[in-house]
Amino acid sequence: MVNAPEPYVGDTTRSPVVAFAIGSIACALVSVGILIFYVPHPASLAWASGFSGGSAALLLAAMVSLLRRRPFAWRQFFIVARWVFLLTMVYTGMLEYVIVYDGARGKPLIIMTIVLLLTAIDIPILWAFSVARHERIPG
Amino acid sequence: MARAAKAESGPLVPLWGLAIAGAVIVVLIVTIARNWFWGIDFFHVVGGALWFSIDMFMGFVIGPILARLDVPARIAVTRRLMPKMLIIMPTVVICTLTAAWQLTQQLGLFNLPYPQHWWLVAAFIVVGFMAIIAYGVLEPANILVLLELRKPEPNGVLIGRTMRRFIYGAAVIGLLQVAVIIIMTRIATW
Repeated sequence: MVNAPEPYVGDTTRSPVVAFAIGSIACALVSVGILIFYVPHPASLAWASGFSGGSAALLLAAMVSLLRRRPFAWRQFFIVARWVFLLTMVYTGMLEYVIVYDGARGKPLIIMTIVLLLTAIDIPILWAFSVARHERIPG
Repeated sequence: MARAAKAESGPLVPLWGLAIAGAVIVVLIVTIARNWFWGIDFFHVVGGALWFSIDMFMGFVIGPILARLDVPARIAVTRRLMPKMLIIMPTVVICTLTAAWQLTQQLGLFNLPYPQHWWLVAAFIVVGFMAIIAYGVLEPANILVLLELRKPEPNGVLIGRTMRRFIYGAAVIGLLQVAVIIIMTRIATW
């Protein structure tokens, strides 16, 4: 009796890259949420900055986890990442324009700009990794 | 002798679709720059309606239909549907949310005192969850399916698994949209 090979269902392992990237996006959203929570009064920049810092740390953790992944379909990763990065930079530019147009200045503007930039890097990493992780590497 | 299937080449999404999406974004920016209240309201209302309708339709109509199709039909539908979804959904979402921010500013809703301000906070929390599902589940699944379908021998099992995740994610977002509609109608009828 010959057993048919199991079909390849992709990478079904739980990945720290995905967890860190989504965690980074979540922290970025909380950081902005804190600023919104306090409007029109001055926001607690300590908490907003803290969550922005957390977002940056989680993004760094996602990058480290990604770099440690071997073997990995880097070609597929960068094919997807560069186009998604272009898209996120267009959106980031638009949102930055809207924020500045609305009169944001000083530290809240800096925090929101940092959050936008972090998200603009998180999303390409997340999407490109989600695609490339399922590529079968020869050998 | 059968010829080996070739990988598809060319753009992943229709270029005319990208041009339309780009034009919509430009019109939105001009609308905001000119501080055109009706235009901003139009973007928010139409964008929100489209977002809600598409998510509900994908999750509760298209999804069950796809599940009942045989595999070749399912692939044929998915091959045509997903490139358009990849253009439509990010454009609709960014327009809706950007217009929402501007509308909130123009209507002075950010200056509302508590407890009414909690409704804005609630809207942000719900939209935050929707953004995480969209960025973490829907869009990666969309791209993965598109790229897999272009291969000479697409992995049907992987595509099926990913499409199920996409449809369930769209359905969850559709349900969160109901919460958004409750909040929006509450704010609009103060």
